[in-house]
Amino acid sequence: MPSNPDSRFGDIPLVVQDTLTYLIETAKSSFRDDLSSIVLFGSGAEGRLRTTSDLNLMIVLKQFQQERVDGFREPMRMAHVAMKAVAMFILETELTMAANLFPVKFGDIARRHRVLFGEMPAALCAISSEAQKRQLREMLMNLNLRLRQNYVLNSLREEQLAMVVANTAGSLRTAASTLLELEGREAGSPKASLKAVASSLDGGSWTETLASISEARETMNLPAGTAGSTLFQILRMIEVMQRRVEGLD
Amino acid sequence: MNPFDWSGPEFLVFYFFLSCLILALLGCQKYYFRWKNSGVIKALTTDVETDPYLIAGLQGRADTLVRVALVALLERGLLQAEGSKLKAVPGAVDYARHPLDKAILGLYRNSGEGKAVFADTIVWSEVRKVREQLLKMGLHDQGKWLRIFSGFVAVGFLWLVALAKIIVALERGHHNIFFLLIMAVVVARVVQKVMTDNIEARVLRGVRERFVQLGARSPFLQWNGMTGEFTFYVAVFGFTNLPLGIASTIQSLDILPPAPPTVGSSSSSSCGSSSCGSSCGGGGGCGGCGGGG
Repeated sequence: MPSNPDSRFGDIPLVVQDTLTYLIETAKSSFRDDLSSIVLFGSGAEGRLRTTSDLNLMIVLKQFQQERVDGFREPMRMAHVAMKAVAMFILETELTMAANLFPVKFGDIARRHRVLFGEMPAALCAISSEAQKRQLREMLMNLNLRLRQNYVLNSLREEQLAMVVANTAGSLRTAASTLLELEGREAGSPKASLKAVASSLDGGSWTETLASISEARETMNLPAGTAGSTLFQILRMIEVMQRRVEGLD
Repeated sequence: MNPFDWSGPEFLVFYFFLSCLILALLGCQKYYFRWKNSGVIKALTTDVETDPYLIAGLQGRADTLVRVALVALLERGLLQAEGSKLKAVPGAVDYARHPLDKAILGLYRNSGEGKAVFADTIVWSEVRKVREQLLKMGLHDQGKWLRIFSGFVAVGFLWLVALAKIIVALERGHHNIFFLLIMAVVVARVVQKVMTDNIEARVLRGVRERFVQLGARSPFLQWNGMTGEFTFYVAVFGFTNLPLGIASTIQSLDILPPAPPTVGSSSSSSCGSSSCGSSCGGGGGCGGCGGGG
């Protein structure tokens, strides 16, 4: 007998499946006919949740009505505390606009998701590459500016810098995935995408940098003396990614 | 074939198998009631897991619930700690929804010692209501009294058999009754273990499974009044291993139960305090003093 009879969940750990099942049922009873679909995305959809990972959900609604939403607050709070479940509540009518405003985010959802209830919204399958390029540029520039600012502010307290590296990892990996997709290359998991991008760079000990990024993300910590150099390697990586995005035009 | 005529070692073997048979019957009874209670436990686990106060109510100690409420109010910023004292933020009571929160915030309208909460009758009456709510939701063990009765009957029967053999042996001039006495005591202890079951602990175990990731994240937790991670943490896992982010605040408030007394020391001073007196008067989950939640 298979250990996981519900194919929606794939190889997601059972304890997470329980919480998701509970959320789906309470969402159905709270939102009733306003509920269109529930999509799990990010590392949770790939069954690669870590202790510090968010369990990302997109809940697509027809309307956001207070009397219905209120019934979902306690279950959602419990799931947030228990599993770091974070839900994006989006209306069906907003999907196309949102996908064009945040094409990298929604592109990532389109790449890595599991539909837990209803259908996958069609708007996510039609994100223009122009919109993705535009937002990727913004995203990489924003990462650059934030990292420089954080280095100046936090590097005198090195332990704080490890958290900066940890909090950058998600965006950096998603940017790498989007870049590979725009280049028409196979974009695997965001982690694999970043590895693929890094391996194409010249010089530098990229293996160590990638390992440090993973370590920071998993433990929120890095060995003394490594966070600063990791951050500068990330800045170099972003610079190269920016050049590759410009080369797409 | 009268077992009482058998030699000592033969009777010990007989007594051993008789005990095993009775223990097996008690075990079957226990698991029958577990099966019967399982639906209630599953439903209760789902019902309580969204409410940290109901979860804390499962810990079995009324004072734990009060501590969880204090953490919840501190985490929300409605209560502020100054050393060992607490003070409610002006207007905080208007934001409180739970009657227990209102009672605590009312108590600390003016700055007061953290420990004072354990002596407040209004707070204890609200604590009792949480316990009553749990009982109304179905937190009662269906087979508890039958299990206890069966356990006493089993021990009584086994001791009677042992006593009869001891009398027979002594009348016949045998004095090697030591092993039988030991076996009778051991069997009674095992019966006690088999007949006890704790429905609260089983519901709590289910809740802990749900929050297993929160436990693993405890080193990274930070004060977050938005969702109340610390509140849930202490409600689910108690106060014995406080996350770093909360430990200093709670310890400076001096609201934790005293550490278990070391050998040779007396626990009477803590249990004679007014706070523990009102705790036991609070009914429901009288926890009294000592130990952690």
